[in-house]
Amino acid sequence: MTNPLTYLRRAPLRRTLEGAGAIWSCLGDTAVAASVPASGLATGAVATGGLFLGDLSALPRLGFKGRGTIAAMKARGVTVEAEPNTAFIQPNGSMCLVLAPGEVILLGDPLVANAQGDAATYDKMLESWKLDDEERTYPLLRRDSHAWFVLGGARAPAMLAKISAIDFRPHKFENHSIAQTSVAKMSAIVTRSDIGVTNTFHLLADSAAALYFWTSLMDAAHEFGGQIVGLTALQELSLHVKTRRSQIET
Amino acid sequence: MSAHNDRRLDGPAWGLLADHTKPLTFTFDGKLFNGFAGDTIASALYAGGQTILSRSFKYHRPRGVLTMAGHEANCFVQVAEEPNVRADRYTLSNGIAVLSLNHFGSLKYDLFSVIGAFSRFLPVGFYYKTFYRPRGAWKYFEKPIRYMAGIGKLEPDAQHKYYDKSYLFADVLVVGGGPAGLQAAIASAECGADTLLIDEWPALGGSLLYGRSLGSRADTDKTRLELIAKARALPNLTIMTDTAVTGLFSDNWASAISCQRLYKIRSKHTIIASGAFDQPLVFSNNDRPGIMFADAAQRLMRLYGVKPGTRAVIATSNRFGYETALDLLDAGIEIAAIADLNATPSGSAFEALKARGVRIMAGCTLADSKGNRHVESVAVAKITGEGTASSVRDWLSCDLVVMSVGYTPALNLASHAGAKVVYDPAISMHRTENMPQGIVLTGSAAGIWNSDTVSSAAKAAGADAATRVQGLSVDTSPAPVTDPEAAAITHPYPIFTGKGTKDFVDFDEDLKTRDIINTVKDGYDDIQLVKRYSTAGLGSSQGRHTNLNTIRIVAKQTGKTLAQVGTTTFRPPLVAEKFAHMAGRAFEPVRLTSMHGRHIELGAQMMTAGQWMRPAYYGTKTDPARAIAAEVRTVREGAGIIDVSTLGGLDIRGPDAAAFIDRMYTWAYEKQPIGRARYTLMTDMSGVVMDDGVACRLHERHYYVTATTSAVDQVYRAMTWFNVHWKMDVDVANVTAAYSAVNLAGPMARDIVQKLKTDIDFSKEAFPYMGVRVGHLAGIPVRVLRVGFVGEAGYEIHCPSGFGEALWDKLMEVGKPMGLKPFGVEAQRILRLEKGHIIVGQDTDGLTHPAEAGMEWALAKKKSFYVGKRSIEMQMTKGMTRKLVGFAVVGSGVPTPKDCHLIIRDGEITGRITSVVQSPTLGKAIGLAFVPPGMSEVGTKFQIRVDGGLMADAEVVATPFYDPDNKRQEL
Repeated sequence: MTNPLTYLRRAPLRRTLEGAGAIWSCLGDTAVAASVPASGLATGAVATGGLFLGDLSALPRLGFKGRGTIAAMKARGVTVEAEPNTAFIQPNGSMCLVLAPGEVILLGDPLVANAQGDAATYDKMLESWKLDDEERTYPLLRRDSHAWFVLGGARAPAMLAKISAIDFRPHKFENHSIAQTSVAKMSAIVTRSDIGVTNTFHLLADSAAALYFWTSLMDAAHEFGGQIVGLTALQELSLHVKTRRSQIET
Repeated sequence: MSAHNDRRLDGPAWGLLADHTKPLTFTFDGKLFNGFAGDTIASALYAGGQTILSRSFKYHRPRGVLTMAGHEANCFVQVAEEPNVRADRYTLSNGIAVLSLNHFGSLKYDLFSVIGAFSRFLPVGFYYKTFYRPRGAWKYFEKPIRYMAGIGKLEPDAQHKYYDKSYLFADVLVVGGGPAGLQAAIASAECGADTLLIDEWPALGGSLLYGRSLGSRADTDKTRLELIAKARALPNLTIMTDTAVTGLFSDNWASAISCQRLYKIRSKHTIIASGAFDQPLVFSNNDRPGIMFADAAQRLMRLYGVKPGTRAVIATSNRFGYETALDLLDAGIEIAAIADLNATPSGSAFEALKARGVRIMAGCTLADSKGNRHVESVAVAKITGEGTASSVRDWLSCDLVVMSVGYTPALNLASHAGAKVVYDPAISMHRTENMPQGIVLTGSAAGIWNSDTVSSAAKAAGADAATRVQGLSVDTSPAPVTDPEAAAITHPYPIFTGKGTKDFVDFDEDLKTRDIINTVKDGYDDIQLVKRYSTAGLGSSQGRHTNLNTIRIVAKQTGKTLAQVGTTTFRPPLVAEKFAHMAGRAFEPVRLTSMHGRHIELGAQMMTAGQWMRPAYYGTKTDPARAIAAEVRTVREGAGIIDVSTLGGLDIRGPDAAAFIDRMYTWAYEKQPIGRARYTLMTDMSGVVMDDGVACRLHERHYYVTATTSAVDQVYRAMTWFNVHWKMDVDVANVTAAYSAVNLAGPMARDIVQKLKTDIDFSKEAFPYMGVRVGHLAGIPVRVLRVGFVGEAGYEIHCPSGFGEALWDKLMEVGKPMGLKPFGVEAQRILRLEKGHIIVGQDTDGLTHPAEAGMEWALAKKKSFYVGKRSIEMQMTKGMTRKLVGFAVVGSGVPTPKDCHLIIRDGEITGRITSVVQSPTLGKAIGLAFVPPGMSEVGTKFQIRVDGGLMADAEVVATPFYDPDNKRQEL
């Protein structure tokens, strides 16, 4: 059984998820809550629209900022354009969130079995970056500065309406759109990236306030029967979607 | 238990909301009553024969159902700990305990009702004229007056309930689910707009729920059901019932309340179909229980299945009175007579009643009523002119009086949004002018009463709104709709007063016609002044049933037209909002460092620092001073570790990084060597000290700058603001949350850190004081600063926050054998003060410039510019008025001074303490204080006024108090 304390890198909600009965698995240089049995939510319930909430803070991510950022990302093979508040899906399933013409956040794909796979790419980007390269892009440790939560289900927009002023309904907030806004009185980056037909949002917020933010999300989700999910449930949901799609196509 | 169940009506035509298969019980003033699920408190009480609901505000007259819509104070009751509950809107639940309000003795026998006999001594504005003489008398009157006029009782120990807020979004918001609102919403949704329909009642339909606007009750109900079915079938039409829109603000921002939630609604277009409010007939004793609006009688019957009486007299001037009469007959209620204020009644309902032999008294009004706690008879009199009636009275016995003499459109929301409300003499009602863009009125709120016209106008409004919000081309706006039928709705002057009578204009405030007349006579003839002086419209009905008659009386008294008199301003909220609604669920972000859990495990007493939680000290609360002193000794004699993750961190990167830092801070940085840290002092453009910290040069183009916990956001804001202006080639990033940090300090610090595997040479020679290194410690990537805020050798170790807890664990593990212990903010405060370091924001204030704080040494003389330089130079030229100095308390026997205690010299206040502590190291109280420059010389004696007015002797001493040669921090 994986013990998160054996890793030097630990996610901000380690204690909270332990309290919820999390079962951990290794994810590169840290541990991630693979499942949270206490929530009692099956993947099937997720697929049928139940509201779910997961902590992806352990997963790889990296930011870049500076006037030359978009060009620098393209030079590194990232699929991206200077279109603020848009998430660009990479061929491997990871995302490049464009926050401004000069700022991006790269999010690893949590839905693949090898969810730490993007970490190597980001580490390489960080190591190869040089201040003297005249690229005018500067890395930011988004894995440390921002906690990462995933929120999904048909009622997710209604839940978010309790803590944010943005209209996140599917027909108003397009897939792969980004809102940089206030959520529960905190600055947050909200990205819609559906898993199949499941309305799904990725929320990035101040890691130091992760517990407060998580508590606020759980409080808002309570009315809709929100449940905590681990990474495995998300990955199974994704697999379920892919299998269904494959069946339909054949 | 009450035995008055014969008031209940059975059959599908009655009691739409009350489920007769689900009986409930509740108590009212301790007495058991029956009801049904869906009943309101008032409907169940009325069914149980309890027709007095409350006592009136001033005269303590018995009051009962008036509107059955929660529009006035008559219906206020207390339910458990909740005061001022609207009994005619509060849905009954099993077992609730309801109490009546505002009486001394029982509700039936209220001893305060004797006040009515002395009403001539309580004229309008009496509280402005009495009770204030002799001087100071008011305080003796205030308490009993407030008791007598009180409404609900607040329960200070009431349990906190969960209230929250939520946003709602729509292209088109339709307020009101009556015939107009339903049809507007359907049209809007059918045209493709994302539409939200809100109604305050539990069921949609508005007047269709109880009225006969389509000729017969059956046809009206059929139309209601068809419209609801149509509405519910539209996927882009969201329907919310039991939700009251309480305000409409700029840019179509609407507030709404449903149960314990406040909704904040954002729409592109708003259609207001909020209907109209009944207006009372003003006559003597028009407030007795059993006298109610026609709509109220219909609601009692149709919504709750309750007979409002057994023998009725109806006073009307429109078709609604006649239609109600038909309903009463259908319910088996005898009609004694219909008094029609019009001389020549007409209409289909009139004809139907005439055919059924009902006595109709044309050109008549009600002139008086009698009854002992309930109306028992009314006097009908012939109208002789505007507001006058014959003294010949025809007394009719009855237990129900129904009034329908006119309406006033519900223009409140339109007025909130900025529309002008004007009087239209053609219809004897108000209407709006200058409606804000994106807001329209429809239905009776827009002065449209004919059912066909209501339908066509609402549909047009809905379609037009949908077209506009979808950005489709709109040729023209729908033409303004005028409805000839509107002129037959409201009587122009339904006020028939008699000398010295209780003819109420305002039921909430117990205001009579004479009160309004006397207000004008007292000189308050402007409608705004009339409102404030008389309090007309200031009660919970917010003028719904008061304003129009008040304006009529003022117009008559002043000889002006109603249009000239104008109207008062409608202000939100339209219905009562609780403080809990306004507060909602509190969101107060709390920031925790990555080591927070460890502090808790070690028994830290936490304190707030802005949004952060920090350990104040470790140990129990029983003897904090001892625990803090022990922590100080640990740092001075061995080694201590403090979590300083809350310190601000900024990465300044780019070719112009050094030049940028040089402009932002007062000292010189361009020639700062890589691998060195330098103190930073930031001033604003007026030269006031904003913040301090250190700038660590990690690369020719990279500075890592620390800022204080509380000021980092301000510093970041200033940096990004100036960067935009200066257009320098530099990037500023606030990395506070990205990094955790500890300060490992004390003579043993180096020994501890060297126990860990590292690629950094921590030897004194390789890593001198104010050096900065980047590397790894115990496998953790770190930035290490050799700085000494606490005055001992030490290292500030910064690492990505994901590693923060592990860094703490590793240091504690290797440090434990060497006596390493954690210390908190309180010990740090002492340690830094012993060393004479200031804390910006504590030892400086919003006016402190660097020289006052003794920071001249941090001002670069040769730089041509830094933010604040010019102002500082001007201040230096002007001369100082105060100076921050170190001081020590001399002598004993008086309490230790505290922060902000005053410095006294020759009996005058000359300064104040900014920081003071009892130093465990030095064994005396030391501190920093602002004193006049003339008192800043070392050795100057002064006194401090401490707690209890005692005076402590102190003298100015040199700083640092501890280790003045700085040998320890450079060990």
